[in-house]
Amino acid sequence: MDHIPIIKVGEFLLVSIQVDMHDRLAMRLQDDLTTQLIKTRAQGVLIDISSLDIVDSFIGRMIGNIASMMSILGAETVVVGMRPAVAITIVELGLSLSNVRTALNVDKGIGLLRVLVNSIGNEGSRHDNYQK
Amino acid sequence: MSTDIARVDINFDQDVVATRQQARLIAEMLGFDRQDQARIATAVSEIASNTLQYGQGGVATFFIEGVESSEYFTISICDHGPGIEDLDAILEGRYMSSTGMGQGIVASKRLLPDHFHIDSKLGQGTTVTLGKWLPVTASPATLEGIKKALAELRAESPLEAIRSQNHELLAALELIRQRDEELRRVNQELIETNIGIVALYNELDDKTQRLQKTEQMLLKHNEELKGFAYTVAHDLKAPLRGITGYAQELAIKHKTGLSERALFCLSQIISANRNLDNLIEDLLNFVRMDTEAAPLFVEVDLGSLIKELLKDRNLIITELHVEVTVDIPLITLHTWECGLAQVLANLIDNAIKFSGKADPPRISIRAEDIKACYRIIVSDNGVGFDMKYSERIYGLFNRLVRTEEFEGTGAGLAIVKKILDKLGGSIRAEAQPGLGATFYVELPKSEIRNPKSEIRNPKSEIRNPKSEIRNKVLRNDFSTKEWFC
Repeated sequence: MDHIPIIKVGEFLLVSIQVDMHDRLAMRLQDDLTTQLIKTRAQGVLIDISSLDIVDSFIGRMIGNIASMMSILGAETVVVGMRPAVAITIVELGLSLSNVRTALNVDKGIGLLRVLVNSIGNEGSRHDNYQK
Repeated sequence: MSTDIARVDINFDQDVVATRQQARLIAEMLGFDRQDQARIATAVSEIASNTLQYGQGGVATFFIEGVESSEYFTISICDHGPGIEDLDAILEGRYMSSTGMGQGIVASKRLLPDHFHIDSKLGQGTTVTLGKWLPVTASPATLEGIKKALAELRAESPLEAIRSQNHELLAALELIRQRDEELRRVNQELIETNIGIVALYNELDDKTQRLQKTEQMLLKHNEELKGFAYTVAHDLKAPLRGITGYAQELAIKHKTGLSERALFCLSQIISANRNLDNLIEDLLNFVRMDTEAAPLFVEVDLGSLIKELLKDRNLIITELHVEVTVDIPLITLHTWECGLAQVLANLIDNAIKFSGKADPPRISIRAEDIKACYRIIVSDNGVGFDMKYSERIYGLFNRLVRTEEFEGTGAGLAIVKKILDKLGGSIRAEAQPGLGATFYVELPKSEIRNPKSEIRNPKSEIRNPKSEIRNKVLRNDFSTKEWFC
């Protein structure tokens, strides 16, 4: 598989990683997401990693990077469906995904995104007003 | 004790995924719980990524190590990259590359603290060995079962099939590259050899040209010499005829007015003239050998030729009471009849002449068919000669005896030799002073130097298959030369 599909659901982008990612694929996802975000003017990104058996430092860093980029581009990122084993491994690896928000499943993730986007949206409008 | 389970090459991105999947699968089959599977797979993934990114690819080997009840699952990943420069700093966590290399090593060490060993030599490559104790509680599948399951998985995976084909292709390419290299090397050698050959050929060409020039000069000189000899011989004969004519006229018509002494002088003059005439005649014959065109080759029956020659000499044979032995088998020669007759006549005449003073004179003429040629042997029991002169006797006008003892001009054997040269034959002598001489003449079975005669006489070729073979060999030689040009 050359690309991981990115689906637009409402004002969010949904990425469901169904394959075991190799490094190049992860890099491409990062590029695709930024492009799509600009194109669709989405306000949040939901990354479902429930199919991933492992998350090594590279993929972990990639997820962290994606979250940071989205944040810079004005969007929120929520990672959902992380397996317990993966969570433990990430901690043992010493990866601190401090800038990544997580949720248990897609439903809760979307909920979280809505809350986040609304609060930022309000801030954003305030910001706009301030500029005027 | 260690037992290999699987091996995965790490050359592409996909291989990293395959390696960690393999690690997780084997861990699962060995009875590790989900958390440990994730740990092992993650650690393997870290190291495999490093291998691909920094080590220019490598190989991951999975095996079981240790003695029973304390075995551990080991993954060894080795590459032949540049090695790690500051390993200690990395292991102590002091170093962190921008791309996360140090992080990977430290992370995997943290994940699998049971066994972690890293061996890196600058310029030679890095080998990372990861291990985890086999779980005691779970009952691990047997090694054979694991291998079988892995093999089945591999067979099902199209990626694996492509990968193995890819490997074969790479191996084939490598082989082709090696062949190509070899070919190029051989080609280079050939080119060098060729240059050498061309240089040699040029040198040869130079020498050939010089030789040709020399040959032409020699031929010209020879021609001049021949003309000179011929002219001299002819011009000498004319005054000689005059002297003889006048001397005979004196001796016959004016006999009455001459004293006995004057008559004796006249007879001496006539006799000397005859000798001189013979000498000139022989000289002419000798020169003619060279100037005459290619002699005519015919079928000659050796027996009847010798019989003919002896018949001509019957008178002298009877007079001297020479005992003649002839032993000639049936031999038919394809040769120049006049030339052969002249050779034999000279040898028989010599034999009769030089055995004249023996008592009784004996001469024998024999012939035999030896493999490569025919041999004719003429021997006598005459005066013979010292073997140290055995080469000198063939020189023109070279005589070992005085004319007073034995008549002759000294041209006979010279002519014999010249004719035999023309026929492709040879002559040699054996002699002892006072005991006689034996001459061996050898004639080739077919004249190969004269292709014209073969065209005239195709029968001889059919009867003599050897000559055909020899001719073929000769022709092949020519074609080889052409090829070299």
